[in-house]
Amino acid sequence: MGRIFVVDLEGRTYKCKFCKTHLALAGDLVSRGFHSRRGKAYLFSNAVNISVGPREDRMMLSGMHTVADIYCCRCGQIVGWKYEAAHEKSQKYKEGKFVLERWSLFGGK
Amino acid sequence: MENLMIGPKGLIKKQEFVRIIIQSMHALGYRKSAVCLEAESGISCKSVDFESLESHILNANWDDCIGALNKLKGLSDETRASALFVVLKQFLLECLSRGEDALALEVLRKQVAGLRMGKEKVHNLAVGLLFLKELGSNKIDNGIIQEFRKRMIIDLENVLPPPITLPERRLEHLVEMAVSAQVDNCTYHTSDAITLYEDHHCGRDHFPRETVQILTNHKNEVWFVQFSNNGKYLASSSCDCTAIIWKVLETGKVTQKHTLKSHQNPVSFVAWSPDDTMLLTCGNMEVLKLWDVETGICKHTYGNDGFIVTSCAWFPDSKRLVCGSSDPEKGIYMWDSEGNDIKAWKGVRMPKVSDIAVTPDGQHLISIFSDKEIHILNLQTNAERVISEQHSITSLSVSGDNKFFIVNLNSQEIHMWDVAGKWVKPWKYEGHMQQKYVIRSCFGGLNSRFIASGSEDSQVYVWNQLSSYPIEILSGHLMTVNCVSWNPRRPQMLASASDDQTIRIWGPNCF
Repeated sequence: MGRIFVVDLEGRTYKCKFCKTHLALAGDLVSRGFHSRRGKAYLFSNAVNISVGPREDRMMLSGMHTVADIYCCRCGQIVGWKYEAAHEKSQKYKEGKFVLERWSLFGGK
Repeated sequence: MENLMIGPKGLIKKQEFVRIIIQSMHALGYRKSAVCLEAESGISCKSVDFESLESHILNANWDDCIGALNKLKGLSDETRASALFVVLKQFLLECLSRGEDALALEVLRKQVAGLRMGKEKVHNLAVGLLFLKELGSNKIDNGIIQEFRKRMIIDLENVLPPPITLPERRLEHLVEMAVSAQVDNCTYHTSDAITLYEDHHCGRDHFPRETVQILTNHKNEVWFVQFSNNGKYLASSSCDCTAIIWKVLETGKVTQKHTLKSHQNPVSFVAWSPDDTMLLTCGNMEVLKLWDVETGICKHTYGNDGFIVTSCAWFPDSKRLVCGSSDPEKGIYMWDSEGNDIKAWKGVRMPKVSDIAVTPDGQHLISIFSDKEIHILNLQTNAERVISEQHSITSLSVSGDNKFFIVNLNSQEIHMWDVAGKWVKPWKYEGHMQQKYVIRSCFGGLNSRFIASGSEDSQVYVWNQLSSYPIEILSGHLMTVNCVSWNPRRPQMLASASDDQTIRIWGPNCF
């Protein structure tokens, strides 16, 4: 659909496992201690080349959050979610950050 | 008489108005009418002060002349000094011609020096006079002296301010100012026809707003479209891995001329050579190919397997071309149309070049580095200037007059910058939609006055350079419009390329 605009990151990057599109910088990694249904997941302060799905309220391991699923902009594969709003004060630090699931990532190189 | 005002707003002084009319009559050569008007209105073109100065000069009453100049009111010291300098210059010349060297020297030392005109001017004057002396003072006869006096009067006229004298061609200047303002304010400006009988105004119905033709030859999304520099051809490139060269007939109808098949990947970019004989096509993540427009045959392929070209541009000599590459080595490569390497800017520190353009005069090379930086390289001086944008840039386009360029940003804005680098902030245009795809925009219309862009909401947006919001939004396409091109020779013809596999040609209502 049109020529998809893709940004290239400089440095150590995590890429989409399926189409190798750059998704996040290793330098933006905040925490490795997250989990999703498919296994381990990492929290990043910033992610690129993703399209954001609709917002929904979801009950996660850490409580109720408003999240939006994120997809790789090139191949459309779901790669994780974005925290839009947190309902508890202790979870506020997650707002605006992205979680990328380990199984959909390729890299650290 | 002095205070009589005319005009519907009462802004114009009658006396001044008549005076500039008389001046323009003189300038147009209607001496008899001018003199007649002077007599009938009692207003003379030349002010009383100036006329007395003139008579003093023509009769060589130098002291009276200088005295009058000193007495004139409303002159700044600097202007008075310049005027006196002009007079004294003539006086010295005449002294020398009569052989009164001692007097000349005295005047030069005391009066001219006292004017504080700057050492250089005084020295130049002295040198000029000495030169004249060398020629022999008896060579300067009376006829020439009179000539010099007349010229000097004209110089004096240029130095002295109004109301003592009038600026040259004042009425013409005022009329031009009014007409220029009308043209500048003309939102839908499509024709340069200017008449004094009516305020200039291009109607909206002459502006391209309707689909005139739909070209369906491509079998997949059309990503790029561009008219040739002479406006006679159109090139389009598509996801179906081909590019098509179309001919624009006299009537404005567009017909297919050649289909260029050779790329393995979708063709993302094409560039016409400035002489319109050759076309460059860039494959998406692929090589660069050069085609002959007349025959439709591929003449060269630049780069080999694994070479990824993002964008390309021609130099005005139609012999050299540059392209930006992201693999195997990131950089800018320059070749000639025969296939030979000329130059390359590459290396470990070169960032990814996503778009590149050369100003039509060949002076500047503009490239987009790392999606957010605009590098403007002056090819003569090698001076480089960098503009950092906050958001990613998806495309670059340069105006036909070499002065401006526009970039489409991911944040749904189009920024216009000047090539010379005087602007601190860009002009911003918004209203269109752009988030996921590479959307391109272009300059167009008379004097590159309009900016047109594609959009993800399937419409074509057109802005006037002076307006931040669109003046026209063209609907018709069914899917995202990727690229727009304005015919450089037909200010009423626009072409747009869309994901709906068609190219639409737009024209005015009354086509």
